[in-house]
Amino acid sequence: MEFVDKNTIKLDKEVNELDKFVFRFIKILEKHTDYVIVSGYVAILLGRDRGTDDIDIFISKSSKEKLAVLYDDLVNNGYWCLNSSELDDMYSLLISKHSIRFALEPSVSPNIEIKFSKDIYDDISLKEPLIAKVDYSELRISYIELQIAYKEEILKSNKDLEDAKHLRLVAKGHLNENLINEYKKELRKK
Amino acid sequence: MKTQRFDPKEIRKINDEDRMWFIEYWAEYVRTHPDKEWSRQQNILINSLMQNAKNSKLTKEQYLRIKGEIK
Repeated sequence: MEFVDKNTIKLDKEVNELDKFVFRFIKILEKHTDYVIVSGYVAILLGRDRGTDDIDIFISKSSKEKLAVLYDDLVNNGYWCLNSSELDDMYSLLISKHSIRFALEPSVSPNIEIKFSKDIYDDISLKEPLIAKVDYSELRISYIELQIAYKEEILKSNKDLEDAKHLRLVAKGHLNENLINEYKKELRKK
Repeated sequence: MKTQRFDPKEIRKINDEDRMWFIEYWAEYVRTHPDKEWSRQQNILINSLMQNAKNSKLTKEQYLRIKGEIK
């Protein structure tokens, strides 16, 4: 794992089936919208030894028409939405700060859990992503400092604290501790 | 014969400590070994979980119910 610069990590890893699932989805998603991958998959991509059945992704808030175009492209590529096949339902879930899930039909897992960006922290992740270069693909992932702060300050489950610990250790020497504390301070105000 | 009693809190504490030890051990391995090496190990677990997921017979509704997203 090479921390190339402030915004780039390069991984020379052997790609697994979960990575392939993510790359395939992102190839479609990025044609239509900004995105950033957050939470568990970020830790897994950076070596954490655990699985996950959902990959969390934030996208910019968009119109129903734009969502319709994305949805059509996903359906044409073999995906289905687990929550509903009605565009109105999907859009109202997203607009009300809920998520919608896409998997390869007919399976339900793994799936991609999409949410609209809902606050300043999601926006920071979206606008200033960390680029993970893996194989011949590039993924936009959330800054590690923000992931650590969110997992340690808000989520706090065993799994999340372990993810945070893993991220702290693998990125040792490349983390801005002041930034983590700053994010935590702001998150406490939420 | 005396039966040994186990305090659930104590067992949880030991489990937590074991898990944290493994997180530290594994992260150090990832940090100090080439990506190809640790990912080969990691992929054994992940690919097998992916295979299990493929074999799952859960419906959309059952899955969303498990996730607490529908009643």
